[in-house]
Amino acid sequence: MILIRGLYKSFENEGKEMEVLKDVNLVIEDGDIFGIIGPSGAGKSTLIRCLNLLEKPNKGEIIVDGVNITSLNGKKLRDLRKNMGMIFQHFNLLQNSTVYKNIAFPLEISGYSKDFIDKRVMELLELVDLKDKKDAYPSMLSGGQKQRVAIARALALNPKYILSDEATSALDPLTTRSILGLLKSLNKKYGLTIILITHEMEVVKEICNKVAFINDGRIIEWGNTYDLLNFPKSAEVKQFIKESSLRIDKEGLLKNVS
Amino acid sequence: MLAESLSLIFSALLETLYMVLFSTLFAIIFGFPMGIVLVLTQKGGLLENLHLNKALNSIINTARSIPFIILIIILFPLSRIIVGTSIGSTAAIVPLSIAASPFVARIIETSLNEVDKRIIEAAVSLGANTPQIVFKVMLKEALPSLISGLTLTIINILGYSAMAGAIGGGGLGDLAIRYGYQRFRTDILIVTVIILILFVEVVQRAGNRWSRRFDKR
Ligand SMILES: Nc1ncnc2c1ncn2[C@@H]1O[C@H](COP(=O)(O)OP(=O)(O)O)[C@@H](O)[C@H]1O
Ligand SMILES: [Mg+2]
Repeated sequence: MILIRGLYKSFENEGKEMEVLKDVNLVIEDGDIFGIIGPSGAGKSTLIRCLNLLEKPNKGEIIVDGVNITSLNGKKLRDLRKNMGMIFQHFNLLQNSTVYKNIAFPLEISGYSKDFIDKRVMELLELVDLKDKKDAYPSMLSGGQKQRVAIARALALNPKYILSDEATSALDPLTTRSILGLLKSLNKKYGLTIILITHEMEVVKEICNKVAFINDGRIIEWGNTYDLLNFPKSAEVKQFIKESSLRIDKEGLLKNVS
Repeated sequence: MLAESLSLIFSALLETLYMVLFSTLFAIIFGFPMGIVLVLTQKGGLLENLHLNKALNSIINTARSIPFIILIIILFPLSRIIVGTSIGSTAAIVPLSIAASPFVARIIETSLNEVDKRIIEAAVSLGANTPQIVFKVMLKEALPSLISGLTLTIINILGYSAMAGAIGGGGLGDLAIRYGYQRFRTDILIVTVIILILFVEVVQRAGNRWSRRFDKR
């Protein structure tokens, strides 16, 4: 379980202090697929990057399974990160390493034996259905395949949490669907808790059981996806839902035509 | 006469190879850690330390701004302390290494900074520590560009070694000046220049090929 309490984060831009997260409070329960949605620049990436301390919050608490992580450093911080696999919009794979080596990376840096690594990587390749691409380099793969390698890499150390920062935003709708399907099956099969950033309502509708709306660094509303999408309280969220459903209809229309 | 010329050229070539090989080696030994420290301590680096970064930058810039011929003269005493003499190929290795080290540091710095920050961040998010990121991510990702930089270093050192030769370092540069220029042995001058051209050509081609081989982007 992750408790976020009174979280603030600001950046300094040319001497000016810019507050990017303002009093964020959330509860993410084990087994959730927790969506965080909002417009570009709302602070979504900053928020998710605080969870594994890629960004250090200025104020507030992040309590992961009973431990306040905001002051962790050294080995304890690295162990926290190993328990939170992260995936990214641009995949961020090692370009000069094969698929196999990419997935082996987290295992190698954790000092596992060659035999164990080999067994685990083969397992993961099977899981993401990329056995035949074992010796390929990332530049030879499609976007969807790259993201599956990244997912396998993020899962290598058996983390409890997956952090996903716009993992499907660079993918076409069909590939998006297959990646979301994979994440959902991992959640079902292994009870993986997934925290997922997106600016697309489709993604939330497809897999999130909970969702938080963020705008201008503040959480506007959060709760069960069904309740929130059907009975939004704030005008902002209502507007956001309306706009995105318009967008979705338009895309659907275009799809039907072509 | 011909045999004599050939043996002159051959031993000069050996001296040049000897100077270039060891100077490159020492330049890497000194320049490599400097380059890594530059990258790690810069603004936004994994071990940001602006004071150390600034100090190191000043040292490197100062060393690089001294003309090589002056550096050799300044370093005469140092050569004498380290290798016991200030003339000959072995003595020339001292100023050559010292001149090339900051160059190597800059090459390493530039190459490592070309690595996509997002890839480094992904490694951080997977729980890698700083040495692991340097050796398993940065150096590996930068390998093609590091090889190109090394190629450039070797060719530069070759050029400098000819200069060092001119003031007592031996090697092909020395031969070209002493025989080709001062004794009007145009044939030796031409052969020396051809060897230098071939040397550069071979190193550059090998460098390009290796660089491409490791580039999987
Ligand atoms: N490292 C940084 N330094 C300065 N400003 C930043 C930094 N990271 C993000 N920001 C700013 O914080 C705001 C929120 O960014 P981000 O969290 O990336 O938004 P989102 O992911 O919702 O698009 C933006 O205005 C962005 O310019
Ligand atoms: Mg973002």
